[in-house]
Amino acid sequence: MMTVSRRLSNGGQINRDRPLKFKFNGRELSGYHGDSLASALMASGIDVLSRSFKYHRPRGVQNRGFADVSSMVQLCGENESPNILASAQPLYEGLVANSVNCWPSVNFDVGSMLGLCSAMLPSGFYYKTFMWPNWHAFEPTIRRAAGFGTAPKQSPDGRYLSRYDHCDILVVGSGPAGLMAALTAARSGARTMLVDEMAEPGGALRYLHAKIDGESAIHWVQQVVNELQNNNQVTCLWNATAWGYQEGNMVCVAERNSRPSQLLGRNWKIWAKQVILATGAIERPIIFENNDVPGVMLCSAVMDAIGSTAIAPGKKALIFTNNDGAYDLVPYLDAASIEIAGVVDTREADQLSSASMAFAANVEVMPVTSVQKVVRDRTRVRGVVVGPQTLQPTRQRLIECDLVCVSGGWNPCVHLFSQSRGSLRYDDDIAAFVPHQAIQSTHCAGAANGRMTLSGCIDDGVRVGEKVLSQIGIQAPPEQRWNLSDHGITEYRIEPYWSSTTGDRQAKAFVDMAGDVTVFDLRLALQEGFGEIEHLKRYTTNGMGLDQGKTANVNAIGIIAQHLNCHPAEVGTTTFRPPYTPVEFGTIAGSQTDEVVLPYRHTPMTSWHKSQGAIIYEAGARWRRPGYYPHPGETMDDAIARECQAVRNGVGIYDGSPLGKFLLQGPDALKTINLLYTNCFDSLKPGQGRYGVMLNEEGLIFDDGVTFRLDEDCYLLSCSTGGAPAVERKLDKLINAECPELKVLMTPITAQWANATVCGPLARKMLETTKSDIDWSVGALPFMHMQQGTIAGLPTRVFRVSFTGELSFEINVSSRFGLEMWEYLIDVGQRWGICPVGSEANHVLRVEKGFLSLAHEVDGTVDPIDLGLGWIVNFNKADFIGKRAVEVRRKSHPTRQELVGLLPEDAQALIPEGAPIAPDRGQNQSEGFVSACVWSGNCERTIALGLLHNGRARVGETVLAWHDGRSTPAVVTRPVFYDPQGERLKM
Amino acid sequence: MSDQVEITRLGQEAVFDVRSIRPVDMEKWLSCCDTVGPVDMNRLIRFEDCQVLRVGPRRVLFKSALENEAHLERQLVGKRGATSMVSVINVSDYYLGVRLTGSNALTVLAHAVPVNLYDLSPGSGTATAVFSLGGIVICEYPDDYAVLVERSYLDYVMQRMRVCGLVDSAIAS
Repeated sequence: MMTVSRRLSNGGQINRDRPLKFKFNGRELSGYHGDSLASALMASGIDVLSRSFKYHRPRGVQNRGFADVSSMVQLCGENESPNILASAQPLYEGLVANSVNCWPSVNFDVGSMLGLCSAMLPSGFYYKTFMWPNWHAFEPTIRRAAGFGTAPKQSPDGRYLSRYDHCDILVVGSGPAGLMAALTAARSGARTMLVDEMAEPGGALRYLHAKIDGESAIHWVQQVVNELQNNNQVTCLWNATAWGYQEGNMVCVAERNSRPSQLLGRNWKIWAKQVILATGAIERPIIFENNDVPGVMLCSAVMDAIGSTAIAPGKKALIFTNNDGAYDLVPYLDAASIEIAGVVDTREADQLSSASMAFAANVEVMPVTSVQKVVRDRTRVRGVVVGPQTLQPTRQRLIECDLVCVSGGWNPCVHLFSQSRGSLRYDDDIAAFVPHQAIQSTHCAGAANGRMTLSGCIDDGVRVGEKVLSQIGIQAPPEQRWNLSDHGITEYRIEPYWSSTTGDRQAKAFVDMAGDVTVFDLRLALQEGFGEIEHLKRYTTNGMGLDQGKTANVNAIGIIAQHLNCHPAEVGTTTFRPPYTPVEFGTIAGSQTDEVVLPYRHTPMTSWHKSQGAIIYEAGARWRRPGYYPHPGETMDDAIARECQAVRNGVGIYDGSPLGKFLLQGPDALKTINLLYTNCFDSLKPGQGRYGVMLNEEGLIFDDGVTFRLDEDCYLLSCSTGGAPAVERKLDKLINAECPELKVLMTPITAQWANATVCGPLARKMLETTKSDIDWSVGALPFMHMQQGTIAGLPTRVFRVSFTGELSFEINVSSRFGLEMWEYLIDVGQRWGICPVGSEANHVLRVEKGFLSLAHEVDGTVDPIDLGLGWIVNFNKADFIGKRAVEVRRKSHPTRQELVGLLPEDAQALIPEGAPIAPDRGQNQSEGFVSACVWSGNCERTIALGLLHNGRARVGETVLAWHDGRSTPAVVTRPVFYDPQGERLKM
Repeated sequence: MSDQVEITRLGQEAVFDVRSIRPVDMEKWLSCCDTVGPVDMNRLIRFEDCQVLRVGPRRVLFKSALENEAHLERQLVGKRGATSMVSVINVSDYYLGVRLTGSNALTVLAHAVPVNLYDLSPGSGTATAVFSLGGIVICEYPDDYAVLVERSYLDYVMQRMRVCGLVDSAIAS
């Protein structure tokens, strides 16, 4: 395809000595350093960049920066990313981009056929049309037809960061007001941050022809920026969008890396004492038929194209406006040798300022006139139909042109201010919403504050900077005045004019380019009763697209006000929400990807487990523990069976370090423990331990564990590995919020201690051969007692607690000695055939004993009595958490699911955990579920635990456990398969 | 940037966590200690051979070389006799540390810690979140930070710190 270069021979802020090659839709093209992707495409004569969201209409550059949703492309290659706005994407060498939402090509898109039946596709049509038989039948097709791009396939690992920062003053926006505010703050010595969403600072000053202190505006910008960047109290971030304003004056800023590199983006969370929003204003269009055709651009976008990137976007232009600002464009068009077909102004002639009249001295100005329709060929403007605002067809006139420059006025960019919960008010003078009342330490400056002239913005930047400094007690620098000249329109006048179309069904007059929302859609929504702005927004999706209503919202409000015959202020605005511009999920996640989303925790013995080939996986609360230790050639089942046999017949050792441990200390420690557990700890003497069950307020089991009394008012409380974080929160809440009168201190000490548990009938004999001053005899160290001493010279605490049902000694040492102790015990244990045991074998052993496990039997729905632990609930105690709930529940004598043992009739059959128990396959008749099922070498068959409705009364009954559409019959038994008297663990 | 920050694992130190039930109990207990002046929040002061850091109205940390552990424990537990409203817990094995040194130590640390590091001048410290985990950050000298985290998370914190240091250098270069 032949294209014509639209690049002007001189001017602009581009560096012509640095040409850059890039690819768009497979075509090799070139631009210059300083170009955006959009400007480089425009310079190459490419009009159509993408296809619209709904009707697949051709779209080109219409606006500037992040407000130009029509320039959306897919960035390919290393930096692959969807939904990139070409107008905001700096060009770099080797950039590869493709159009989106089109097939087979952007110039010939089959999807554009939808435009032929557009009358059948008004807003909300899918709510009405796809009701039968089911929305999901249509959803895949509709989602394929719509949408913008595809998510990158490359792993985001290591490509994003997230960081924090603090400053005295955060200035958002580096236009004239922002620069002045930042300069004022920086010169005072305040720690200042200046962020701007564009790759280069300056805002509108990058294309304005103004002179400041005799220098060109861009030269002045460079001077100010140099001063700021040389000040070590100032941080400047370009390519960084402030996208969210949170509580506590915290602003989220997404910094993008516009060049291909390892790092794609970084999210900053910045707390500022004061925030100055110098976010500028966004020019809005006037709505008319075919206002989306390539060649229709906002006046500021045309000025930017000519002034910043030296591009003539057309040959013959027509200006359509309702305000004075648009007249600034005339000298730009002249300079770019673009013929001016005329200025269509909706206002009366006497409403134009004298400055505007002077600018347009040699141009035909058509007052009280509007553009009513664009005449186009397949992809570009070929002329416009203008006429009186009464829309009388007889007085219409066709004007040939290939560029329509539109300005419907300027909307102060109040998004962040509104996100900070500041209120807005409608300003009739500028026909837009402006900041009203701030809630946080937020200040607006310049155009964001409704100042629409350059001098007004500069003055306002200084004023707000000084005001903010005084609020944080910093002396402002001496006032500095700037001499402005040649700075265009000095007086901004506007007469609101929203749309020159009546909103016919066929007329494609777009209010929201991002969502293809037309004037007809708004009218239809109003007719259907969606008169409230928030309802209308959701029904039509107006302002819900990528630009978040930057150009669409105020126009929509104006049009609604017109239809409802009320003032725009009465219509109000919708809620502004973050993000201000699209932010990649990777930027929000930062470096928390893959395995570091949640960290894994290691015990002091992890290196040893790994060296022995242990299969290690998570065992709760992100701890990694050995699952089993396979010998060469051994299967997992073989390894588990071997480890179980070692514990039942010899001696095993396992790493119990991750078990949750808390120290409770203080005069009310006992009172606290009695409140936490259902049983009574009054009689517990120092050196003794007791098992307890902790309930939640609903009287359901929360966690369980053993508590030892270490000293008169000092208790060591243990809990499950996975439950430790929740128990810590519960303790914290109880002590500090619910019962602050308790004189007790809680210190989490899980990681302080390493735990090697030696268990099995030979455990005592083995430990007696260690170099230790501990008396291992049952008389000196009985079950549920503890001793302190040394083993191999290492200070040790030994607890007689058993989770396996065998004689068991929990040997605790300071974590620094954990590995040394473990290796010593393994060494001593060799003579006794000691076997390291993983969590899988532990699981089998505890099922044989019918011991509880969090997330198996304790699933948040059971109380102690359900699990046969009624003996542990002491209703005679004054109180314990959950007491009343259990009492109330039990008073009604409910038949509930109860813990039972299950013996599958097929002794080899393993039933998956969670399999429902039901008389038939009907899901409504479930009587319970299988909580655990294992192969027990000791029982020489599979055994299971489960919760069964009225289970204890059904011992001997055969029930059916369902899985994969099949049932496994199992006989109900008591839930203890091994040593029911508990004699072995008390040896 | 990564060559302007060094991230190293700190050797284990003796750390004692002293907590009180009420702020007044802590004041009373501290009055028994021979500290150098009052124990202000987040200021690092010396007590005998150890550093003292008050991280809350009811919480003070004592940190010393590991060889002083037993001596320090005797000292602190002995002073506990002044009130039963104070607990002295040896958490030497609970915490392990990372040290960041160099001109960009603060920048790397800012990826992990939400507090205002500009306020963390030499001779100060604070209890805060480190990559959303509980931790202690101490700045003893300029561009020199010690970060204490729960032992089991140390490998993770080291890895994240290094990733931030390395990747951050990519955006700076």
